[in-house]
Amino acid sequence: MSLSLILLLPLVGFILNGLLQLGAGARRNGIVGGSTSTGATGGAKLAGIIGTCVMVASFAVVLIQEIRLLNLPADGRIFEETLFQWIQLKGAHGLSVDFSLRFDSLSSIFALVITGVGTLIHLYSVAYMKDDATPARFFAYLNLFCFFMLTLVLGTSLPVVFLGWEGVGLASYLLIGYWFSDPEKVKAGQKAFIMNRVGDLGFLVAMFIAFQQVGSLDLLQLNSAHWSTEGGMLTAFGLAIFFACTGKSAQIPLFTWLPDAMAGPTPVSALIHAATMVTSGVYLLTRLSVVISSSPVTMSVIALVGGLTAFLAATIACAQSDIKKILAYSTVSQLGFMFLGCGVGAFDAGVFHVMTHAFFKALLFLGAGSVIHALHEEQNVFKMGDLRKKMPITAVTFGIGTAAITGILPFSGFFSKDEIIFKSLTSPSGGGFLFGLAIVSAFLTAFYMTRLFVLVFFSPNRVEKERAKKVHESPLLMTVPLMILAILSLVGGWFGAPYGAEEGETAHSSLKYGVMAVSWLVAVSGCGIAYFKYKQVQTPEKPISFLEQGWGIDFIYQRVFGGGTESIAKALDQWIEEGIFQRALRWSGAVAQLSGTLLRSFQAGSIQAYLMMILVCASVALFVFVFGWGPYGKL
Amino acid sequence: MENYSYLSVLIAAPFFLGVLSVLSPKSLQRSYAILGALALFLVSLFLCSNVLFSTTPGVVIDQKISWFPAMGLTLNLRLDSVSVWFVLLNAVVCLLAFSLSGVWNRKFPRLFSFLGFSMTGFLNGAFLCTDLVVFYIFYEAVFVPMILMIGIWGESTKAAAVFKFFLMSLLGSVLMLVSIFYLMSIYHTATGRYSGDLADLITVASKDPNAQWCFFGFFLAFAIKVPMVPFHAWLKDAYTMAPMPATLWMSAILSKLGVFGLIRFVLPLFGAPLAEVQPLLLGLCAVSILYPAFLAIRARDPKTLLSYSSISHLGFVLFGVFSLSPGGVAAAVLLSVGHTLVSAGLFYILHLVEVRRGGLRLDTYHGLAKEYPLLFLIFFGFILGGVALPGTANFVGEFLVMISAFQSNPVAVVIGGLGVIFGALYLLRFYQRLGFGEVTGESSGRDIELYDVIVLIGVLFFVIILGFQPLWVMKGNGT
Repeated sequence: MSLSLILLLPLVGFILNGLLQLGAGARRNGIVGGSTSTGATGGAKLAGIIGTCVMVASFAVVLIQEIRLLNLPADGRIFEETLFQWIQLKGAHGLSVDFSLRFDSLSSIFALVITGVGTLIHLYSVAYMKDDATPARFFAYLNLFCFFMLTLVLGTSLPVVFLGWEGVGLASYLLIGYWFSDPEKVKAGQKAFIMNRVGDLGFLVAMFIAFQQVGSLDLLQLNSAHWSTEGGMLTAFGLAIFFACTGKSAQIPLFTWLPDAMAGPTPVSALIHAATMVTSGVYLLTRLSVVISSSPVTMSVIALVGGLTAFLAATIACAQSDIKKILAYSTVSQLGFMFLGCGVGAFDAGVFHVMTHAFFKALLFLGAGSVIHALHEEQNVFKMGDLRKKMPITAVTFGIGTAAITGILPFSGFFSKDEIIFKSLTSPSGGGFLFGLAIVSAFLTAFYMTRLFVLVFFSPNRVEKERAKKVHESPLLMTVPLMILAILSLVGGWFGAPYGAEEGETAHSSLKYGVMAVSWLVAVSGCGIAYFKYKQVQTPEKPISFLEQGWGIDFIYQRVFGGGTESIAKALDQWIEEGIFQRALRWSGAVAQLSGTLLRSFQAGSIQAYLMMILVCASVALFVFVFGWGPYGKL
Repeated sequence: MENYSYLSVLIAAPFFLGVLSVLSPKSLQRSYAILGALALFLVSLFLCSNVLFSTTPGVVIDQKISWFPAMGLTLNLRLDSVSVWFVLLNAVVCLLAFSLSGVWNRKFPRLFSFLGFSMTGFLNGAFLCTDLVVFYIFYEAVFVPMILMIGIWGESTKAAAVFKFFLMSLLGSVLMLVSIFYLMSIYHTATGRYSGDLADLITVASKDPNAQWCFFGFFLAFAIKVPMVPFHAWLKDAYTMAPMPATLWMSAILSKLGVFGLIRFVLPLFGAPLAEVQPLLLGLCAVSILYPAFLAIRARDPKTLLSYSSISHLGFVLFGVFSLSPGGVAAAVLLSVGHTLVSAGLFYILHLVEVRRGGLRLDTYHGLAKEYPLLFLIFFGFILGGVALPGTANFVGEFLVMISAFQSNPVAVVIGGLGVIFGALYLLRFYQRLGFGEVTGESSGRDIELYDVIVLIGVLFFVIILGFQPLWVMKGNGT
């Protein structure tokens, strides 16, 4: 069975759903109003079935490949497949890029998460989007996203990865602005796309540097190639790649698009903006870990940015009141943890956290979706409360998700996060400061997640009256994915890091247990404080405005970059273009005078003169060619 | 190579079609012109097939026709792996421009198709001739029909537009003509005979101490035609005042005349002076990308925005040309193909939108995607080509020109690379303002006609297929 099936299946789903949407559009244009609603639900089912089936099939193929992979000897667990020749550049040092896929232990984890969690989210969406006007369009985009995401993690070389990298950005743009009648949602989509593009420039520059230095863009060859340490190109490459990752994975400085991206439908937030796309930065760094880690400067920058992002986003999350915004900042913070892990050399722990995070954050988002669905689009946590009675399944699964992200012992988040916190203290690029950041962030995580959980499910009921009557548990199609994800969030960490070598833990074992105890203590105290603070909340709290506004960073960006671009454009337009170029052209003094007479001939009737000119030219040309080509042709 | 071939048909055929169009009935002009352009495309495809589908790279078809032997003027025609693409695109653009309904219902429809066909013929002449004097004649002749189109069917202040266009083109051309004559005279001094053929002039140009001045003459002419900042001042008025088919022609193929001239004549003639000023030229390319990008961000008129967008992206093409590496030049050809198809498609779609809704401003959202879903779906495809998303020919082109130019001037490439961000910004905003938001204005017109769907999907198909199989364009080049 071919590797390419893994990504071709979602592509087929995209095409089928796209055709379905086009068909629906044509029908709607033909039929005059009214009867469209029944058509929409029927279409919703079919679109959902197509969308989900291709994902199930893709997941099955990944499983088969995984088994095939595990049957290989441990040191050769890798296989490749070339689809076609893609890019070739001739010249002094040529470049040849094939469109190839590679399946190994790292890409297999990501492929499993993407197709596995992806399947659950598709399933959930069938119920969540059942009243939507254009369900086929939704599933088409979702399938398209999966296609690009799988290309990203299976591609063998940077250009192929970049195809996926920009493609997921496109799908993300389409899904954030899915309800495009609302300009705010459109703007959120545009912001995401543009900020990702800023990062993508880093990706391009990294490819240019790699080609110049190594002459190849293959991921494995980049790792094994000999990089000259002169001139800082190695560091420049690492930093450029990392800059690309800050865009896609919402790290400082390019994180402000992710909270806005919550404008998209909630399953989208779960799949793209929590479980998969935003972790592609971690994937890329891990894939290139040998090159990246040979530059200490790059590693320190990654660790520092990761740690600061984890802290910054966690503080902001504490002051949000929109349930999806809290989860969005939480995602940014958790991604910060993963990058901290990469920066201190614990790439395997970073990937481990990607996996567990995919389970529990997808769970939390889908749980939030279930709540929002039940409350008819209410997202303010201060207008919820006491929902555990009416929505028991959602409450229990959400509780498991909360425990997992908080890092309470048997749950998955504990294992992966603890690994990162421990490494941030002991690794050469780590240290007290990073450890402190990690511990404080872990405390804040426990605090804001418990705050969220208590406000939604426990504290006194503050639901608006007209909404309160209709509150109900979500249908099975939505709760089953929640249950499965809850089980995964519980057991996901028990079997250790799925990627990377086992290491000798003897040297630090006592320290390790110490760190474990500290982080556990911190998590529990965070939970406790939040529980007692919000248990009896009746009225919305007044959040610290500085934190609520995200440290004002978005505001500053809008002023400096948004406003700056407009000002530069205005200045160039008025002063340079109008003031210099156009004026200079107008003032071509004497010639302009002369032109007066010249131009009148265009305006008035003397078109004939010009026509005559062309006719003469044309006939000469004709004459030469027609006759010249006979008798003189062979001269 | 073969001395005897039918390349001259490529130049003569459009004039035949033009004359025929004058003879055909007025009411059928559009159908006639479209069929003619289609026939021209098929003929071009047939005549180009030897080069296009050859398995060995570097196949060249030559045709030598002696014209004024005493003056050394020959009609040497050459179809190689570069010119073949421009000849084909020329026919495609002719088809697209004639498909627009804009001018047909207005005055002088016969004249319009005659001008269009003759311009196509002149363009083919310029793309095929290797004799510099003959090239120059065709090169200049191309602008007569264009100036007439703007003058006759253009909008309000077309007189100023025509004048600016004319003035700047003239300035560049005259200097180029002087340079050509100079090169011919030193060839005469060296060998005792006259020749304007490229192959002959190359032999003297490299040894001449004044070559850099000739280089300047050529460069200025082509830089104005592309246009490259700071030689772009004519563009704004000419593009916006011209009727839409003429704008499409200018943006899609006339701009490529400059690119083509640089590749075919300037690169082989002036290797040494080029290498000297290369870092400067690459820097100018970066300016040529960013400056129009900012103006496009500021533009509120869709046509102005697309015009600036067009030259901003041509800055990337010039990155490839001035990388002076075979690979970079091959990538520039690929990107030219992508740029031609995408910018033609975007102007085409803008025309369809304007036919339905009249002139729209980009200050507010218009919500048209709900009303014309299929049109806006195809539109989005072209926008993605415009932002050079991987999977389109434009991505492979931009990526390869930048990677080639990076070897010579990394700073210019990184700065020019910012155009990737700004390009996404203004093109997305352009699309969103037209398509998204609540529907405004009165509903009018059908979604999109079947004919337009076929044409646009066909063009888009090639944008995408070349995004995955760029070797079709690049395999013959760069050796």
